[in-house]
Amino acid sequence: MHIKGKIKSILQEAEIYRSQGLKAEAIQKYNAALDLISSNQQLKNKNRIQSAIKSKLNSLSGGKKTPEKNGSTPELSENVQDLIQNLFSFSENKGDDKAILEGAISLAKFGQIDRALEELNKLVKKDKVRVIAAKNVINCHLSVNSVDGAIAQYREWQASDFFPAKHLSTVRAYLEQCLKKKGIIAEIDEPADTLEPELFEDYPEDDGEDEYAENANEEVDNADEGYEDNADDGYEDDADDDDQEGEFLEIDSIGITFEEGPQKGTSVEFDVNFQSGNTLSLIIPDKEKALVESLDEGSNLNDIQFFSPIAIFKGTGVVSSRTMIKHGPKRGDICLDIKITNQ
Amino acid sequence: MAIFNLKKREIECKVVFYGPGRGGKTTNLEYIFKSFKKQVAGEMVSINTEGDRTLFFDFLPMGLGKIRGCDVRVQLYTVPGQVKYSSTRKLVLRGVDGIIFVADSLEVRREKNMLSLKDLQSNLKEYGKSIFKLPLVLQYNKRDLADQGIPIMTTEQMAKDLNRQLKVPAFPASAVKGEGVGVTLKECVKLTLKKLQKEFQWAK
Repeated sequence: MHIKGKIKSILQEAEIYRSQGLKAEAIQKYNAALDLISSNQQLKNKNRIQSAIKSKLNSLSGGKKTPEKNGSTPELSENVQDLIQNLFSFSENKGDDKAILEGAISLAKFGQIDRALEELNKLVKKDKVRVIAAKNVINCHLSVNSVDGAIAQYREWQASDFFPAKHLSTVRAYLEQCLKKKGIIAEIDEPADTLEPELFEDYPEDDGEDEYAENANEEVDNADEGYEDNADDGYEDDADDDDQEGEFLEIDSIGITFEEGPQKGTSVEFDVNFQSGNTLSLIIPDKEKALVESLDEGSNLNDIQFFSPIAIFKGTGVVSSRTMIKHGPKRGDICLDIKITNQ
Repeated sequence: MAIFNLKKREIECKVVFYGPGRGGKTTNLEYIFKSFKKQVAGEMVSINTEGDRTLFFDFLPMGLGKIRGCDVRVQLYTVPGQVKYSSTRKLVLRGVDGIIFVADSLEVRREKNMLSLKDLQSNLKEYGKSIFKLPLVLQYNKRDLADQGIPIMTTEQMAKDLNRQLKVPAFPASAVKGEGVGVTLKECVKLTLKKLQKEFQWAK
């Protein structure tokens, strides 16, 4: 092909890539054209063509600053935020606290922090989802690098009259853990009345004050809403679990490398449907139960990858129970409880 | 995660357009929105920046009417194709019932197609789903660019790259011209409903 034709063809290609938004590919072609032009001394209007190409290259390298380029997430309209909240809450009963919580967490994931905080702050007032909502409020503040905001919020809860000391203590442990991960040591006062007897009366240890937690075992039989597809950041069910729970990260999903059975040597990932402290519950659909055939009660899992919103880490665990769900829409599914033994 | 209302005989399923950035996922959805007016059940929501790049997702609800005595609704989504939006892409994929993988026919995008398909596989795996078991249709988009002298891959080459193991239905398309868009969607919806029928016996 004649040199002019060759340059023309490369430039045409570059133009198409540019119109397609394929910036890197367009830049590469424009540069190829420039190289070809420079190496050809007899070309007429050489300088003019080169300067035109360079100006195209400049426009491709510069361009208007978009939110994406700024690293910030645009604030969406209220309608779109409503839509996100609705589309990305996966619970069946859209109006219940659990669905609202899922929607709020999704809003936060889409960078709609102000709206997420608005929703989460409403949920903090509700006993059953208070702790998990509060943890996500802290996550929201930390996601915009507002450590002060997170601490101020904790202090506000501490000064309020609706936040029971036991809940506050769990949230405090969580906040400390998050700050520690960021290398920040902050003075956070312990709730003064943690041991005040009347508060324990309101929140008796074994009286199932947390509906989700209370139903955990029952739902294995009843397969109720608590076990819907809810493996989300915050969806650990921790409203009133034991105090040690604050020490554990929220786990979204885990990857198990099988050491026995037909899956030997392969790694399979499972959503965590429920978390209580260091015990994770997985619901394995009936049709996939062959995957966990080799996992019985007491089986040791020496290679587990834990996926949390904050970090991915490896550890070990043991199957603490294996139950077949006997009733409800999840009848036939397997519920596996895995206790984390080392992380 | 299809939703069934057996009492009302309603079924709602989720189909996601997946693929590399700039591959034409949003263009597919725009064409469907413009051309399937009877079936479109609401506004197309497109959340983007500067008008052309999908930041979060696009959403289009459709109503297919009664199929075997059941009112069938399909929610169409696109994911953000850019590699850096991995977490939102994963969130959009949650509860998916069927997938249309929009591959870019441009030769220069060959590797991006393969990386995106791998990304799809690994995201599905994280949800405990297998790419081999989920209703999936491939679309080889931008076939029209061959007319403009731009190097594109042959469909055979693309099949070899992307469909050698999957062996799923694949269609050449030009989403800007609307060619191949309808047939891809229909095939995916057909496969999705078939799978749901097999699992839940929803049809009469």
